[in-house]
Amino acid sequence: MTLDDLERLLLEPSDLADLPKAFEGLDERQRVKLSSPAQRLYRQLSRNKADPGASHRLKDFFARRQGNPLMGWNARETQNATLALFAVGPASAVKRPNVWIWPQARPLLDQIIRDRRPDWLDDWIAYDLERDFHQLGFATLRAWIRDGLCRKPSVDGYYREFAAFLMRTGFNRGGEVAPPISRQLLADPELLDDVESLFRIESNAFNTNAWLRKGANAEYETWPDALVKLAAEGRLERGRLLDLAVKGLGLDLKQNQLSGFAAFYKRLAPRPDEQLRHQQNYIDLLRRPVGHVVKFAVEMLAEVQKAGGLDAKTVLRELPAVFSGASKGNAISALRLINRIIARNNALAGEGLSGVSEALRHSNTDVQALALTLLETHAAELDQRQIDALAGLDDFLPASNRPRLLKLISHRPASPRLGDADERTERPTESQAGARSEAASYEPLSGAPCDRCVLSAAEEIEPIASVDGLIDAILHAIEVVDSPEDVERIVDAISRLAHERADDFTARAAPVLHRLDRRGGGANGMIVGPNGLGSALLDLVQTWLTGRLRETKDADIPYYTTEDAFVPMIAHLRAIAERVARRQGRPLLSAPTHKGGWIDPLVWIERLHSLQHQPGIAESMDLRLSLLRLAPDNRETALARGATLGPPLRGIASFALGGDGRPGRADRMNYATWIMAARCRLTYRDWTPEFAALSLHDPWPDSLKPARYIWRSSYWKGPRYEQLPGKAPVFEVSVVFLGRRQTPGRPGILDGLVRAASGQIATDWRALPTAAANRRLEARSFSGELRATWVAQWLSYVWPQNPAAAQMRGAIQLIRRIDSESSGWSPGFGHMISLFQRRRPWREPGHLLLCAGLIGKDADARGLAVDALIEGIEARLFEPELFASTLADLAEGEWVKWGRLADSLTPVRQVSQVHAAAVHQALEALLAKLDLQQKNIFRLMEVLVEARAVTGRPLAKNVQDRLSRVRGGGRSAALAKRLLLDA
Amino acid sequence: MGDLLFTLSQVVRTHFFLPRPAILDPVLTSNEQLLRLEGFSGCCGVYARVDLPAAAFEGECQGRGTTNVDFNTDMRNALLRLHDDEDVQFAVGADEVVLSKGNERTIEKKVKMPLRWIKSFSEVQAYQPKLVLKMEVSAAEALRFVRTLPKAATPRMPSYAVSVNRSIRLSQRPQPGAVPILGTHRVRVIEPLLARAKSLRIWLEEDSGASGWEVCFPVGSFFLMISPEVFRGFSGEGQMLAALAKPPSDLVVAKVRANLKWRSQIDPCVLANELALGEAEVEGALAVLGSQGLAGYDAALGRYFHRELPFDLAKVEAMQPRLSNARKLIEDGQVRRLGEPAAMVFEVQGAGALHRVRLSAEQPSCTCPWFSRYQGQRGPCKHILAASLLAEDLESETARA
Repeated sequence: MTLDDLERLLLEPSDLADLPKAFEGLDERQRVKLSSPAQRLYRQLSRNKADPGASHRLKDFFARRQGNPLMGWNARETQNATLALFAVGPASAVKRPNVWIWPQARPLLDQIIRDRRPDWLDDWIAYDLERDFHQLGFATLRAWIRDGLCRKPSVDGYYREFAAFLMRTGFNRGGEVAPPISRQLLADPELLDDVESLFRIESNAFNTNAWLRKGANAEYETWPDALVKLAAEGRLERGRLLDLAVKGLGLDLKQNQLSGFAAFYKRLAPRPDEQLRHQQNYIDLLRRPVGHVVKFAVEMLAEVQKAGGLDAKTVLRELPAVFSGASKGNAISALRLINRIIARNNALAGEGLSGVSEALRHSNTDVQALALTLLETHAAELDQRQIDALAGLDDFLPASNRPRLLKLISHRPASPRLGDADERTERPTESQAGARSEAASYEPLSGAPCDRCVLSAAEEIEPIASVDGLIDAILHAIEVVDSPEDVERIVDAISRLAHERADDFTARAAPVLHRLDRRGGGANGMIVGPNGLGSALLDLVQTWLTGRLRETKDADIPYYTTEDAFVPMIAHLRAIAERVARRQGRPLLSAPTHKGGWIDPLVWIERLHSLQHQPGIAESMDLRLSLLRLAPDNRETALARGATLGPPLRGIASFALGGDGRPGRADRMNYATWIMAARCRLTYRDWTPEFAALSLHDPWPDSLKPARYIWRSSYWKGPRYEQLPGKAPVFEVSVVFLGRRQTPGRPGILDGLVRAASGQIATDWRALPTAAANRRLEARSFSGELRATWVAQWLSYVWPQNPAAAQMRGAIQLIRRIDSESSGWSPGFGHMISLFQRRRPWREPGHLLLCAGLIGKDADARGLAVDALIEGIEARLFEPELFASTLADLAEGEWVKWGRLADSLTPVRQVSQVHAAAVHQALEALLAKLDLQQKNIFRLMEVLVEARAVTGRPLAKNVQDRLSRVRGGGRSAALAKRLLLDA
Repeated sequence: MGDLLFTLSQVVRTHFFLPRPAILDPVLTSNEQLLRLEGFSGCCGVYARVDLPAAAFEGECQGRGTTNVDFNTDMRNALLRLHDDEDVQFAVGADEVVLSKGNERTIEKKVKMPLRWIKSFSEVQAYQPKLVLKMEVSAAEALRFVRTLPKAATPRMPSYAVSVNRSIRLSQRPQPGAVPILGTHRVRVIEPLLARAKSLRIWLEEDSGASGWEVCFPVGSFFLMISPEVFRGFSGEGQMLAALAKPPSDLVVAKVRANLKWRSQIDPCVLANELALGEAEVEGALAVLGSQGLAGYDAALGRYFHRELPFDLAKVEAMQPRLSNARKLIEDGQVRRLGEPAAMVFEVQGAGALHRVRLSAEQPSCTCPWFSRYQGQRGPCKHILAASLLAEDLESETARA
């Protein structure tokens, strides 16, 4: 074969089956001659690019491919070249990661290998079997072994493939009906020797996953089925299989497989003599770090103990290792075994009780309680050394169990330890943290937000001072926005520094433009999405960088939600961009002075003074947004300083800050600014009477009338996936004002005529940031602006006095993903930021958001909700009664997971007595509203038990009544009894 | 001791980021005062070290040296079975480690050290001198804290260990004094040790967010250091680059190296006096030697220690692509100083854009995406390195002129 023949063969084969024939009969010398050209051809074809010295045929071939880079990878010609590598190439050529034979070409590979019988075959097989995805089928490999083409591989991959191939089903194999494993093994008896390796290597043979049986036929056998059958028939030695299984349990294999070993061992039903023979193996397994393995070991030792053959001394020495594991069941079983050993031989009580005391370090209170019961039962047998050891364990106990230990020790006083007294008075326990004086009760704050100061000097925002600083800030924000203030500072600086353009500005700006042009940046970067806020911000930055106004029109992109809430903000950004294009720099009225989106009214008045002569300032979106951000601090002083402003700003400022100003008929065309001033003045008031003179037709919540949120929790049930029944939370929210639904019907011609005749003006939600915030709370699709965390955070900065709309959006988003883990695609935790504002009452939307965070699976949102609750209790923003009623309403949907709530409340109640008291009050109020027979409600009772032990508060009468009605022998009934007993 | 070594082997065989085959070979360093075992997780994002002082052994240390061996299943099982009151022999030789209990002997042989570890050791030595002790709590409080770390659903954003009274709690909010943790599962590996420990000390490298978790026992300690982010192995950090770019003179490094002498504690001040060198010079030399695997740093003691990692020192700089790329930028003439020399502003060619580098005394900066994202947390970018090297060359030229 010439090189030209080879090239033609690979590029223009008449029939794929001809390829192996073309190489047939070539000797190794001839193959070596073709090796380098074949490798060159393979390289060019796989990367889809001809070498400079390539033939015209090859160049023409690539020209026909038209440079499509994807054509090279899986094209038929590349596959031909790959086969050619096996036909003529050395081991190094076929042992490359990207050398891959597609399934349809594998019969050809078989022909080529059988013809050539390369000396590197064993080496390549071992390499291929150890790849993550290998190409050599087990049937082919067995045939090669049988026919003497290769030796049996010794690599683990061979045994993995052995296990997987024999247990195959028809799934993904065209419905192939594979014979039962036992029949396959007997058909190729040499395979019986390979069975032992299944207990040594990690494979799927003993996995217990149900999906492995998908597509299985009626006579399908799992590996355990087959081995049990073959052992019963005497084809495999049963004792040997038992030995292998118990030894396999001591290996570092995946937990599922270990679990399978344990189940297989039990299926073989070891006799007492076999159990006795394996006793040392069981003992060794007690220290393994896998719960399933320890469970197996404890169970088997219990069997040996029942049979009377237990090496009790050794077992007592090793059993305490079980208590270092997390499993409650294993620890309880171990304690019971110790108890039985002591009961049978009291001489071992000393060693047994030492082991029992180790159980006090376990994380589960039930384990500790059982250990204490055993210690109390055998208190007389405890020696001084053991009492001393127990005294050092009180820190490991929660408040509910500690008194029992202290009582136990006090009967037998512990030996004093050096320095112990000092240390113990100083060391705070879980229950001692926090102020004891406040422990008895927890009182939430109440009142309107404007009553309080929210500004703090530590939270002042430092404006960007220079162009270089602005470039650096933008570059960083493109990659990641650390907080919404970063974007506020950038927008403010662009507005202020618009006129500063040094000679080398273009060069300085070039890296930013380059990054923006390439659409670089991180998932939480400043450039969010192609539409809405994202494009408005991008346009603003590029306008500043290039000096030319850029205005991108929103494209019609399905599955991407732009939030109506940002429409006023986008108008604001576009207005800035227009000014920046004209190089007119000026400060923004709406730039926050403090974190959280707040503006100090004193600074605001100064800004008004300096900008009052700017044309259009009174009607600007900048002014409206600034009004919503005015902090409750310093308003009186600001009001006084605003007295010298000219009209109409004086009137607006006076009205917003609590002065005498009121809107009049002349202010009709600037109604939006006046409405924002009204919302600034008193957030939750109905301002309709004061605006009567303006004759407005205003159908928007949080415009003249405050918004109310009506929500309902339920569930949807029906077929979801492959006919499996599904259940999903449903959470519906309506925004209303004065009992009216938000979305008015499309105004009819008659309505319009009537309004025109009466001189009414219809308000526009686009001009009213507060109304826009309440538009369409539900996102239309999974993708949108709120996918960026900082945008979700920013939403609550638009109207810092009242972030209810942002909180409702957050609750909707979190509840939609209530059973999903944290997501990088649609992170929900950004909304939680609104709960961390000092001195701003949470009200119902805040508590709803808190609840959604606490009961969700999203670890980020849940962690922040726990933090918010801890800080909310410290700031007395948390209202236990409101929290309980919100949760009870959510529970009507029957999807609330009480275990998650208990897990969330546990770290909160551990912080201090005040926190424990707040949790106690909330749980009392909640339990009084719930059906206490619900699943996992006992987890809340466990938290209540601990909170009670810390605070010593009595149980409310109505809760006692509810608890007394809990029936059954379950955990809830036991805890209810305990709570009533302590009450 | 069994628990300490087993936990070390757990770290070494775990890949905390993506499932990958385990690497099983901790490095052992022995001298008269201490036996020290060190290793990295498979992802190189977690560093673990066990310090066993002479008091942990009844015998004497016979020699000094470093080796690295596998800890296979047999050794791990043997470690699990150890009891405090048992007579166990632990023999460390140049080529093997032997654990003997009665007639039972478990032997592990020396293996080749993975290349990624070489870089990781260098980087860890650069982080450790900057660690600051943030919290110390009792073992019971530490255990309570570790048990609250999420097991199944883990946060994607950083969590924080926050000091509350004399305990610690997990928070999702950054706050003063808090220690960030990305990948809480990485800290959970110390849980089995805490039930029998004395206390837990938590250290933080504030610039990057790398943290150290030192479990203290009456005798010995276990030190766990986690990288700032789960996907960031120590091998990919660039903390050593500045030191490698501007090392002290070869003579100083040679002098300091000659005086390491397998000491378990090296005080730069004392060594500087001994060698009549400046303390900064000695510290610079120790940093360079640390990058070459010849010195480690013990944050708890605040001292370097001598150990010689078994790898080819010549590979160290070759494994720093940022540094070699920076040198190449200078060679290709793609770095240029702008304006007045005092301004220290440079223009460096990047991929598709000319980047501006400012070398200020506080913090150098660059307009490249790498620097913009990490703000120097992961060491200087190649543009800053190139500008620094050029600035030094220009200064030398000016001085000569």
